[in-house]
Amino acid sequence: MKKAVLCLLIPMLLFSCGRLSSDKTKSGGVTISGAGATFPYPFYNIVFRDYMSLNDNIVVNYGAIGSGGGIRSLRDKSVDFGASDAFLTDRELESMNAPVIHIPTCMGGIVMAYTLSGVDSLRLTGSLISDIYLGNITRWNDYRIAAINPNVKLPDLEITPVYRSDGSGTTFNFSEYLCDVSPEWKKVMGMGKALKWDVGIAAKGNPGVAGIVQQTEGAIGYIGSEYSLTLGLPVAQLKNKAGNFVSASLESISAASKIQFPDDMRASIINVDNPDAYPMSIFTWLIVYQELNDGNHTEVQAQELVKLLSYIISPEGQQVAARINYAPLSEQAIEKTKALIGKITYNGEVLIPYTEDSTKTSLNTHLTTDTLYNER
Amino acid sequence: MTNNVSTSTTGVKRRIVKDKMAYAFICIFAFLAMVPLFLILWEVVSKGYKNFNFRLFTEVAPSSMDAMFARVNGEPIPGGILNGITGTILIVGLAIFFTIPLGLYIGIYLSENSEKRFSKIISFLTDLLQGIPSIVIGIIAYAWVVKPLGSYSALAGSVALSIMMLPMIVRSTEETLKMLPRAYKEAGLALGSSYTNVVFRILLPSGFGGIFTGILLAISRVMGETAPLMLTALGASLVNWNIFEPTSSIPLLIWEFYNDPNLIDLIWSSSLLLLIVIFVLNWIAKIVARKWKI
Repeated sequence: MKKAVLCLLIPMLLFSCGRLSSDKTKSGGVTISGAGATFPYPFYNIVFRDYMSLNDNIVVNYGAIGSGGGIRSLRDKSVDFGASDAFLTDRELESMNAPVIHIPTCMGGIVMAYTLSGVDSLRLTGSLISDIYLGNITRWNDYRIAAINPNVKLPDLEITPVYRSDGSGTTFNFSEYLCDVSPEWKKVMGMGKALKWDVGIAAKGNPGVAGIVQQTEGAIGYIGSEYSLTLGLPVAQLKNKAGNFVSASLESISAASKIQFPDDMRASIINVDNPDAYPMSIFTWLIVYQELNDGNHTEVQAQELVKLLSYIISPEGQQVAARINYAPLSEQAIEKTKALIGKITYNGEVLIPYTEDSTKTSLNTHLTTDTLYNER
Repeated sequence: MTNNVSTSTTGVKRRIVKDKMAYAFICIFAFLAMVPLFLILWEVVSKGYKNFNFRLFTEVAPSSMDAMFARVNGEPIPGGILNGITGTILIVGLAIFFTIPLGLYIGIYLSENSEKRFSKIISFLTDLLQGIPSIVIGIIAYAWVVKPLGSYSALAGSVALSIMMLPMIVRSTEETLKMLPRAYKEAGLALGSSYTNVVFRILLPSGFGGIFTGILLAISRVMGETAPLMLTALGASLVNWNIFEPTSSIPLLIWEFYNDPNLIDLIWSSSLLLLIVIFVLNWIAKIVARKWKI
């Protein structure tokens, strides 16, 4: 009996010890792994694959486990980078135990997709969306909708709002926008990844919402713009802060990012002042530790991680984003992000020094996140 | 007298009618229970066969863009799920490697020492383990393996799956060994064989059918698990055979396809493959159970 146990245990132990020491440097290659948001997953999927085809000895893994999971994994140091659709609050930053850096990678919008036969274009405002999801407006031919759609023949049909049943960064940003434009929404529903809905029907994930909207006459739902642009769904034009009706496109989402960013890039671009901006525009970030010598990284790994980050914000990386309907970052955002990457160190030494492009950074940067944007 | 006989025959007749009715009801309800199963099978097959081709087994998951261009041109989606297939083999293989010895030893202990207090505690805990939701086991494996090693890995995934497989293997081993005739053990011991030899050379081979069936059912139970693997194996876009690095699996790929509007079509063929594998495993389990009947 003892012999049999030993015979099984010894090879198992030897096997695992032998492999432990070889850890992450298999055949000279480096593995970088990250986890987090599902919203930018299609973009990361391609950009990491492109990067791997350019660099033979590097493997990049990304797990779409949700923004919360990404932040937790980074805190536990089980990944090299986290990904999130919402920047970390000051309290979350403290809980990370060491300084972290937010690298914005691309932008997207949240669109109101609808299905109404005979209606090709529809205009909506934030307060109308709020009223629809609160149940104050229940029919398509309501006078409030008709007032801003004078040339559209709206049917006498019940509105079916569709919402996400799962916890979602999309829901978070959607409710953030509605809190910004509707005091009633702020009071009744508030902001969050999952809300308590009184009207409408639930669907799981962006594909679920898109599916229900497509199949239900009179339905309206909020989804990521990359879905609606890829699937070709009709979407509503939204009234932005300047009073213009804009539809979600790469240009109008990019226009939303023409704001003064704080130096740490923790900024919300929802409902900004720019007259061309799409109001429900959002950033998505990769989050890394500023100091990479944490016992978990070799210097080579740290260097490769920083190179990967630079690649994502390079013109090649940003082109990929545009090709699959995410909006690329603005020039100012890219400059600031380069400066942020220039802060990442190994043993206190900067890995890719930032060479200042003197013309672009002279603008006022004294505004902090808290004064520019509402507390998240 | 005659009166008596006639009442007894009507009694029998009534019983036969009752029996027939009960039989009919059971058949109807059994059929009703099968209806959703067949509808699911039909849905998966009818949607999955389009992409169920050679590429599914030879290429890794496609990028979102390739799939989008294929969709626009009306072609089938390129690429396959090779990274998921190899990952599933690696993770489940490791889990089998960890669980079978452990499960067998615990099962043997329980069947040989069923009266001991310690065995009762173990049986109770095994039953408890069986009821723990898979996601909770995923969190535990995350704390045990992912955090200390500092990386998501196939190893962590296999630890999670091992914990899920363990109770089933323990139970099937224990029950099978308990069903063996006492005479086997007595005969072996009477011939002067050592106790260890009797267990390993006589009892285990005699109960092979039951034990193997239990193992196969345990494997097919964990094969389709997504939640614990999301927290432990994370997923990888390329084929990976290093057990200390993130690895994909078929259910993980299905979840990833679900999050990508361009790849949704691949969900069905991946599901079809998973369904076939699990069906075959169950089928083998049935055959083995029948052939090596105790």
